[in-house]
Amino acid sequence: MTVTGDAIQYRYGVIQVEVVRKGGKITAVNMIQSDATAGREQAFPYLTDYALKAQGTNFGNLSGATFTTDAFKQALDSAISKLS
Amino acid sequence: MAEFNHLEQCMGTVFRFAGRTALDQSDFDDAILRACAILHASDEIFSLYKPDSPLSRLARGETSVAECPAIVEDIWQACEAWEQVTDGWFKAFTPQHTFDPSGLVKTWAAREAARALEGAGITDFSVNAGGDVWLADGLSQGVNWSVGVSKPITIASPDSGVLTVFDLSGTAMRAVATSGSAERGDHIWNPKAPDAIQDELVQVTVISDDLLRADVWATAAFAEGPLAVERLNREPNLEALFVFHDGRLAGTDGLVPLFAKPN
Repeated sequence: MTVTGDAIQYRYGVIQVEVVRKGGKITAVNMIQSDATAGREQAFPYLTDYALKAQGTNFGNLSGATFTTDAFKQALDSAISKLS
Repeated sequence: MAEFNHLEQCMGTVFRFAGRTALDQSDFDDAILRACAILHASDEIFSLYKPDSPLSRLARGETSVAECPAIVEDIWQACEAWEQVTDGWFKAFTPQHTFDPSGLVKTWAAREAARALEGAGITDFSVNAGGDVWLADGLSQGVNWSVGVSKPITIASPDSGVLTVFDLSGTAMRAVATSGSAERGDHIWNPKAPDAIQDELVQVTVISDDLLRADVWATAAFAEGPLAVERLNREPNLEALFVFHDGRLAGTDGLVPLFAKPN
């Protein structure tokens, strides 16, 4: 006999299991739906290695959260002050 | 070929057009002026910081979309389409129900400005719209095709710097957009739960074939949080890097080949 539990919404996604029972004993618990890997557990250490190795390369543009002109001026000032 | 590097302040941020051109100085100046006029015209229409802009009047209920310049309707429809595509994670209405498409307008205007430059015969260039980067098809090979990503710290901080570098050469990717709370605080709200604070991520960078698409998905993914990885895995020509508060990283399945090779 196989019983499927409800899909449970939790902090990192949805989880749903089925339980297989034979002769009064639970013989298996199967994960039939889980996107837990998309949650916090998904932080991949190998990405850090790639990211760090690439860090030293030259680039033509810098992408970042939209900066204000004030922040840009401060950054420019600080960069210029390091030149002198 | 003459090199150029033009900075234009608009929409409270800085736009940079950089590249090489064979145009003579006066034709080039004309082209840049016309491209930047597109940015400023968009700002005049869409700024919510200018009390008399059509969008501010719309927000106060003093006018209707039909009475606004036609572009307002276009942007309105684009926002609705993106809201559907992102399953509601990109939403151009604030929790107070004010139409605020400012995020999309910035990259939309940058894309139009880039098209204007291409129309004028400038094809070897990149655009940086306040941190969102677009590379023209005709951009010279080499370091230009590498795009750095800021650490999730304000660029005004002495600790700011480069988190990593992506190399888009030889790929279909043309755009890198980053959303996060480093520069403007929590300006991205959760459209599905306006009071909830997305506190796991500090930054999402999206690499894609189109600037607007990259920008919208970066905003949507930042609002949704880490679960957006799976959603983005289903999008063609789109990869993303997620940065958690504690500095750990997550990414889409095809991200790794895009990291620049150390030189």
